[in-house]
Amino acid sequence: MILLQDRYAFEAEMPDGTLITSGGDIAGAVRVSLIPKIALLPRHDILGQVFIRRFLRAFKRSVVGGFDKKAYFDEIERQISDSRIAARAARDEKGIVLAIEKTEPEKPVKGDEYMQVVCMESCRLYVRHSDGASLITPPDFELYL
Amino acid sequence: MAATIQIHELTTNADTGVDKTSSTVRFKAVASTTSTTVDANDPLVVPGAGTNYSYVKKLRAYMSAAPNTNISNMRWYSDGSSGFGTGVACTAKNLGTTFGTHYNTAMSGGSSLFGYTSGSPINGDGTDTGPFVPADNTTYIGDIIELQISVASTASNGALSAETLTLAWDEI
Repeated sequence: MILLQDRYAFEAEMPDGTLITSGGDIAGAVRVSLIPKIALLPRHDILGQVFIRRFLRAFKRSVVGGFDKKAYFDEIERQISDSRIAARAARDEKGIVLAIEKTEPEKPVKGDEYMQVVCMESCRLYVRHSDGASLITPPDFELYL
Repeated sequence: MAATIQIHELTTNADTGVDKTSSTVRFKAVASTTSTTVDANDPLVVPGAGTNYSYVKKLRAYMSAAPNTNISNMRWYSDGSSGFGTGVACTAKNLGTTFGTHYNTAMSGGSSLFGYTSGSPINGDGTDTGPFVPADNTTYIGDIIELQISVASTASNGALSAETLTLAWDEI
């Protein structure tokens, strides 16, 4: 299995044909490629730019406070006893309707993410590891998800 | 191979903790040395008057697989909007590398977690400065972040919605 953080490799080609595949300094390169290790993701090749550096930007999430209400109530429902199910059925047969208390909307919890970042003189290229989507920004733009 | 960094909830000192990456940091009425479990035990109680405080939670990054070259620019932030509701606040601050104690009185010197956003984050490596290299593998890296929930008498009873805390870093 290829981990999310390893889904893209980079390759910088220098004028003498040397290939750089590690580190962050890509100054002087004539081509920089972001190469997916999963066939479904797109490859990105950058030519004709003045390259400065590249790096990987990572995002790890943790939930603080509260809990996952859906998972909690799903688990309660899963553990419900046969006698309770029978009691519910009997109640429903009598036509008793319980008021459903509204719960506040849950915020979607973001997942982890990694982005390849290629810094050029005129712009930056961000490529997400999760889906290969790309974003070109001004050269001093810092993208955080 | 890129590094694997985990978010740990510290228990007894600055270098001992429990992995909470993609998991929940549960604020409780007992210290993390007693329980880091995600359950409904030891909940915070809405006071009749005044404010109740949770025991603080201390979070730190742990390198479980080394980077190729190094890791730097660590930062912690929230999404900037609290879903905790009226009367419930979350305070945060950077402890540097001094673990201190577990306590359930009001945190001094902290400010709202939701004031720390991607554009204005908590510096994650201001004291334990990077870059962190492969030699730091299987150690705790960066600063300790301390969090605390406060519950005022105006809060409603019941479980809170979940909020996401993000740890971001740059790696080469």
